[in-house]
Amino acid sequence: MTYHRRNKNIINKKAVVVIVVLVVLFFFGPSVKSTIQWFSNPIISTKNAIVTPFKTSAEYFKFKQKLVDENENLKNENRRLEIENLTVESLKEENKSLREIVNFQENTSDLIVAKVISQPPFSPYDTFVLNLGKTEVFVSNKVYYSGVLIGEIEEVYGGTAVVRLYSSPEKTLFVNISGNETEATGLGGAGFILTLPKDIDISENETVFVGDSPIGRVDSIESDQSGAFQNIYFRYPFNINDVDFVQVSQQKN
Amino acid sequence: MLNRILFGIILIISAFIFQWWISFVLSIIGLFYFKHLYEVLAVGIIIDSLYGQGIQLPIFESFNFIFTLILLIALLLISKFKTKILI
Repeated sequence: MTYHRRNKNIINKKAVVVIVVLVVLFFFGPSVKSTIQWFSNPIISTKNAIVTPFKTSAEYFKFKQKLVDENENLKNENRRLEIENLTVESLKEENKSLREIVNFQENTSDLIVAKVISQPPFSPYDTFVLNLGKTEVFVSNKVYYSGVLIGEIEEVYGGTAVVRLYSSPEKTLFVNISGNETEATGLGGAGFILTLPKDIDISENETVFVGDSPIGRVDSIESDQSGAFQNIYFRYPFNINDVDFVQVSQQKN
Repeated sequence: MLNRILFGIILIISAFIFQWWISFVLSIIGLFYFKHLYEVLAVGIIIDSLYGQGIQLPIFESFNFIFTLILLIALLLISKFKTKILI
């Protein structure tokens, strides 16, 4: 009978590698991250420059019927938005006059535009990588896309920054929906969940706010027949995979 | 040997330019195909460094390399699994 002896050298080698990697990451993690961010910026920018023209050419290969349907949907959407826009204009005027009456001081903060070089689905978490160039931003600065508050700067490196979206798993924030202030939790994949008593009437497509800034639209409502609460799922009102530029508040905290 | 070097280079570049799951799948395939493919740790470190931390560990809050830790565990488990199959 043949007995195989375990090779102790291999086990020791593996153990050494594991310990060295963990120790290096534990003590020098920020330096490692900073070096990789410095390397990544030109690599990802080059990849984006190469890939972007092919993204648009892939649209040519869509089926004709699908394009016709899409066109019809967009026309309908456009009609609806035109009507909605009329209401928005009158509300803007009303808002302006009300602000004049109460002598409202606008809280303006400088916003700078930053290019998104990497976003989900490239990122395993709900994070964006921004190319900032020489612009200075700070941790916790708010990040907006088309006026929608989407997240905060989490890490800043030389020329790049990582933005954590509010929809990151387990991230919580206070939102306002139909006049009710409540806590929403990120689910990942640009989705959120919040729980409200069943007797509060919430409809689909209702806008959810964080302070004055809109953050999302109600996607679906799930209510338990026997329970007293309803789960409300909402998402950002755009596809986070298509975000190419964002605005970053430059307020120093 | 040349295959291994080429695979290692592709693996590391993939972490920068492809979606995270492509690099993850490549890493797992590589772990089965090559012996002691420590390059997968580089993939984990790159992804964690690029996209920030996913979840915070309750014990070591300053340790932000969760993806690396997952790949490290995969490296150890797959090596052990391969050794058992060979015996």
